[in-house]
Amino acid sequence: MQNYRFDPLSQDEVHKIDLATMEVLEKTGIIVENDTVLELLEQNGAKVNKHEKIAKIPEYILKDGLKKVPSSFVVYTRKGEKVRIGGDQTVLSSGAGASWILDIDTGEPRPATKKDSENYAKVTDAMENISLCMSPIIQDVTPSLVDVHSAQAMICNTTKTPWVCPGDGMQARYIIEMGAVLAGGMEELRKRPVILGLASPNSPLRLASRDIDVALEFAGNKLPITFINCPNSGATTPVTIAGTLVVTLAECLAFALVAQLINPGNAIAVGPSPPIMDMKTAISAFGAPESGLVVAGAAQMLHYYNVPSYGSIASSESILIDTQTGYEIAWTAQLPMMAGVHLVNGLGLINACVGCSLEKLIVDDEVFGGIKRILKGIEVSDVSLAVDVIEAVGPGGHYLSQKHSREHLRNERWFPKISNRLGLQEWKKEKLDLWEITRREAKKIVESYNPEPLEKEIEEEIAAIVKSAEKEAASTQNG
Amino acid sequence: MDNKTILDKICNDLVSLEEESFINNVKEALDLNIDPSEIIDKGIVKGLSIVGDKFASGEYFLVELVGAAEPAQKVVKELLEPELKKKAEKVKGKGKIVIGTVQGDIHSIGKNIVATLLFASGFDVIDLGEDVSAEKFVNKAKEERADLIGASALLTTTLPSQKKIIEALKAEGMRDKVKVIFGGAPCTPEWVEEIGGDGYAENAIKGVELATKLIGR
Repeated sequence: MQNYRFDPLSQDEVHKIDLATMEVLEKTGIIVENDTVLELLEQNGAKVNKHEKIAKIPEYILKDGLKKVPSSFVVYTRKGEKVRIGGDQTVLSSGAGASWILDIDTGEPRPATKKDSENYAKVTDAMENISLCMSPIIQDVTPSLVDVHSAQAMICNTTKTPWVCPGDGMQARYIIEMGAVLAGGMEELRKRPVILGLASPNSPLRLASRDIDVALEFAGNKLPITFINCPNSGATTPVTIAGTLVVTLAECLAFALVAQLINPGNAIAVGPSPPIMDMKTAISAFGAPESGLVVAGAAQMLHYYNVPSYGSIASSESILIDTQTGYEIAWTAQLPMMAGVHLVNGLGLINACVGCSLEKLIVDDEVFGGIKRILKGIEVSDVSLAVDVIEAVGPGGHYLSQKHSREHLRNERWFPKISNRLGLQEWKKEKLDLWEITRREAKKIVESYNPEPLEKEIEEEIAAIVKSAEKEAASTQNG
Repeated sequence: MDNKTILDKICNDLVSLEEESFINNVKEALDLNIDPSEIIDKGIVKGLSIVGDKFASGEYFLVELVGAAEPAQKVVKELLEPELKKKAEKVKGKGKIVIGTVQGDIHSIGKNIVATLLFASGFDVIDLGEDVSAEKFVNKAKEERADLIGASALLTTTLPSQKKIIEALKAEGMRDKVKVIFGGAPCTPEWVEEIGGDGYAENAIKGVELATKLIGR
């Protein structure tokens, strides 16, 4: 069995990117929109301009901070199953950020509702290869509480770990409160985190106040959090992939340092969700081949820094479930998976991550099943070489009735769930394409699949938290 | 051990694909003087039918389906048919099928699977092998009073050999006495209609369904 790790960069190139990243952080610096954090950075040796809120971070401080990052960490499902991030296996999540969804009845794109978020969680729950759950951006709730509502939708409709992206500190507090209810108290939540946080640097080179607030809530409470930037190559980062990697690493590692200053040893994963700006349409294209390279390159660099790596993959610009969806998933998924990225999302997303689709989640689960098989590699042993079986069958025979075939079929093979492997005559009976096949599957899950329900009492406590958040939001608005 | 116990064991051996135990239990059943046709009906056919159900439900794959049918077929041919002949009995099948790969073509895996599965679903199958001439198909069908001929071709160049079988049957005045079905990668329902065959099957499972529809009784 070969090591299937594919490294897109040579050792020399890794060192060059490292040097460039350190130079940018030390010379150009990064905007840090939070005075407490600026002071923390200053106390630790960064050159801080409080007026411009810029911190220039020397290499030794950054590298010192990175040494404290755990090389892997565990989050839990609400059933108590462990999901290790930073281990040998890539952890997959459905994708966040979509404001519309492909309606499974009409096939038309329309604004995503809370009900859609619940169904998205349900379908995620039913998928074999997806471990974490994210939510579309719900359009039919109080806009300042979108993330609180989506956290509730996820918690109540999947046992899988909700990966939450609160837009501000207040929502982060309410969501952490929900996590504590799920875990059985704040102390329990720290020991057994059943939610994973997210905050984003703003490219280029800016840690905005809201994101730092979210980081302070999570790291301040010793809870795992991810730092995900969205380097829009050509627009908010250089048009070159190497330059995009430098900005990405500078931002993500600076945020990683901040988390370690708030709480040394805090569990984190960092990395890019990298579109390229399409220079004809100004669309941020996430399904571009270059995106796959950015994630793979960042993963290799983060392995070098010994920081758990994240990347957004399996994205597509297509609006429908069609061939373009398929090849863009392939471009952005296979390479990062081979590069050994630790944590990914993007599953279920379409049209530049602005849209999502239950059907696409099902397609992605299938794609990743196949990729996981590829990554398992070729087992070579006396048994798998099967010389005695080849001898027993002899020239001209067949292997279908061999015990060896029965014994190894299930381990050697991956079994597709939705891919067409019918011959023409069978196919002609219904003439289904992949969109229709997955739409039927999605409907089946929405209508009849029931994830393990929450205890009534916990469900009520979660609902009560949403209610208090609504109350605070209303009073803030009125006040 | 009573008869029922040993027949159940034979059935279960097939379902759990214990080939050695299966053969031993069939031998033991014969030693106990159980009627071979009873061994077939209440042991083997029952077991294969359970395996078929498990295949249909997705629990079993082709390797289990063929893995059970092949030893079953071997045991019937080598152990049970000779006993039946001694008693001048015949295997009571759903119908008699002559099967083979057409002249000029040596591809046999598809035909072998079809033959094995036809046997497993209760047909009496005479497998002529590969590179079988139209005359050989017709003569054998005549000799055996077969109900159906199944002919496979994998190459576009050997596809015309399927047509020759129909022509040879007509020349012998036998066309209305025997059904003819065709399969193989380049074969299509349109082609089978064009050459005047009775049916086309896309895969082995469909082949069994087709044969059952045409001659199953």
